[in-house]
Order: sequence, then C-alpha cells, then structure tokens
Amino acid sequence: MNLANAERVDRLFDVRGYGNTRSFFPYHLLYGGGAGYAIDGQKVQTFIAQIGTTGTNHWGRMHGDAWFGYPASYADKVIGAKMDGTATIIPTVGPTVDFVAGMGITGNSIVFNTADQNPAAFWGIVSMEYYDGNVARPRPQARFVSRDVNGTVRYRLEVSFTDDITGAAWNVNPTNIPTARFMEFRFMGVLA
Amino acid sequence: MLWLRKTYRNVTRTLRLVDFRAGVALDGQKAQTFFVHVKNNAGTLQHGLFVDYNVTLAPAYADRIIGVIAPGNTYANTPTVGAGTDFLNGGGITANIFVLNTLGQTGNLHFAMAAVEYYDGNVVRPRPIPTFGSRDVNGVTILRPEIRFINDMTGADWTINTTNIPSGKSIGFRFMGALA
Repeated sequence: MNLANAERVDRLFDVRGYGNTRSFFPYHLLYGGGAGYAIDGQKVQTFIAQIGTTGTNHWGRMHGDAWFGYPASYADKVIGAKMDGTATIIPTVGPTVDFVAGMGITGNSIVFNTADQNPAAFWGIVSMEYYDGNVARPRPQARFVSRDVNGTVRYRLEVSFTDDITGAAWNVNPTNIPTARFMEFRFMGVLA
Repeated sequence: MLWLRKTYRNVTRTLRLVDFRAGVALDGQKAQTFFVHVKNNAGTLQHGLFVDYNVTLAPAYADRIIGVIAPGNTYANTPTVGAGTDFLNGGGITANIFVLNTLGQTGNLHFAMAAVEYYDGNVVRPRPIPTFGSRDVNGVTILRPEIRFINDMTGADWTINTTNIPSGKSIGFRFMGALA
C-alpha cells in the first residue's frame, strides 16, 4: 500500500476522535477540536441540554444522553460546555450578561455559546426527550440567531420553544418548569 | 500549528478530519434538510421551503427537491396532487400527506426523520411520519418522500386542510435525511 492508495482507501473510513476528549492524536491542538465529520466547515455535533428549576433559578447541564447522563463526546463546538454532570445556574443572557457552562436563557429560547454561525447553512434538528413540568407542552425548533451576548453580536445556535398547539411562546421560566422539574432536549446537527 | 510530515500514518490521521463541501451521500442518497411551512392564507393553503422556522432564507440543502420556485423561499398555492395534478414549488398534498417532488427513491434505503417545529392551529396536535410512498403524480408513479401526519394521541389521520389549519394559522415541519 503506497501513499496514493492509502489516501484513496482512507476516504472510505471510520472517523474517530470522540470530540476532543479521548483522541490519542492531538487533533485539538491542530484543529481546535477533535476529529470528526464536517459539512461546509460545520462539524457534526449531538448533545442533550437539561434545564431545571430551583426556586427562581434555572440550572442546566449537558449530556450525551437523557437517561444515563453519559458525557457528550460530540459537543466540542459549544464553548464552555460542562460534561461533568454538575448542574450550574444558567443566566438570562444579554448585552452585559455572559454564558455559563455553554448556555444562556432569554425568553422562550436557550442560547448556546458557539462561534459565529452561517444562518443560510443551518443543518440541525431538535427533539424534546423529557419534560415533567405538567403545565404546557413545549415544541422545540432550532436555528441560528444573531444576538448580543456580553457585548458580542453574532449568530449562535438557539433552541426556541412554542406551545405545541397554540403556537404561543413557551417561555423558559419557573411557571413552565416548576421547581424540582426539568426538561431535556437533543440537538443533532452541525456547528461551525 | 504543529508541522506534520506527509507520511502514510500522518495522512491517514489527518484524513479523519473531513469537511464535505459538495455534500454527503449514503448509498447514492444525498443528505438534505429543510423546513416546510404550510399556511392558510385567507382560506388557501400555501407552502414554501426554507432554512428554518424564521421563513426568510432559502434552504441550502434541498437540491434533491425538484421544482422549488427560485430563489427557494417563496410561497405557492399548495396543489392536491394526483394522477392529473402535478406538484408546485416542490410539493403537494393529498389527504394527510405532504408529498415532495423528487426522483424515484428506494424504499428499503429510507434514512430520514421529520419533526413538527411549529403549529398554531389549536385544533389537534399533529405527529409526522416520514416515509417513501409510491404514488401517481401527474402520470408518474414512483417512490417519493412523503410526510404523513396523524393525530398525536389517537393515531387517526391528521388531514392537511383548512380545518386543522384555520385561516391565518400554519404548520411547519423539518425534514432531515438522505434523498436520491
């Protein structure tokens, strides 16, 4: 097997690297993240976001799955994401309030801390995997939205919620997620 | 930036980071995703294909859908497709099914999912099922991608009509998958 054939054969491949956490080869030093598939410069990602309520605060964390809570191996494009299982208070982000643990809340949306995205190249889908608030059913949709967070205006991944039958905004607040309750949703798609 | 010699081992390593710029295909089916918005405009159902729920940008990954009116983020009256009625703007409806205008698909290669991302009709909650269905549309019978809607509780057909989508209301759903 010479170099030319190696290049050809390797195009039929199994992409390995497990985000940036388990790769033997230092891809994260070379490319700013682990090995993985990309489409138009956007890398394949999937993860669970969990948002719950304690009193008037919302806590959050990210996982690879919604039931057993394995850490997500394909979420390295979310800046500051924590995968250690600990819950962190998630702020209402705005022009002077930054993300915590890769996430923020505003109105009926969860905003993820990412690099600047191209809204015309959105490639993603989201689904609710858990909700026990027993108030109103949330219907999620994902897209890239331009927003000022802590003085930086750029397009980021946002997951917004509407009431699944009236279409009204389903706000992420202690009314829809009462204390000790939570929701979990999965994003699957690609992110720059 | 580390410097790498172009050796067999380094080539095999770096090729594991792959960016597909011309599209990704699986068994000849190209990966596609888009948001379909069906709205009731003063009693007439209209539809368009978009990047997302914001319904402004044309979809970047919908080139396997035939006949989308340029620039691709345009609404058109939604036809009820059948043996004598063709698609318009990449799609059409028949009862509880939204049919997409494509080349012939292969049934056992179905690789897709669908999600309702918006519905404000306030009548009955719809649940989408993506399939490849064989249907005669304007004299051509082939397998095409179809999104079939059912009542999310009873499983009964959820017909795409002006009862379930009252005037001024709409449904939006995403297709994500691979199409020939």
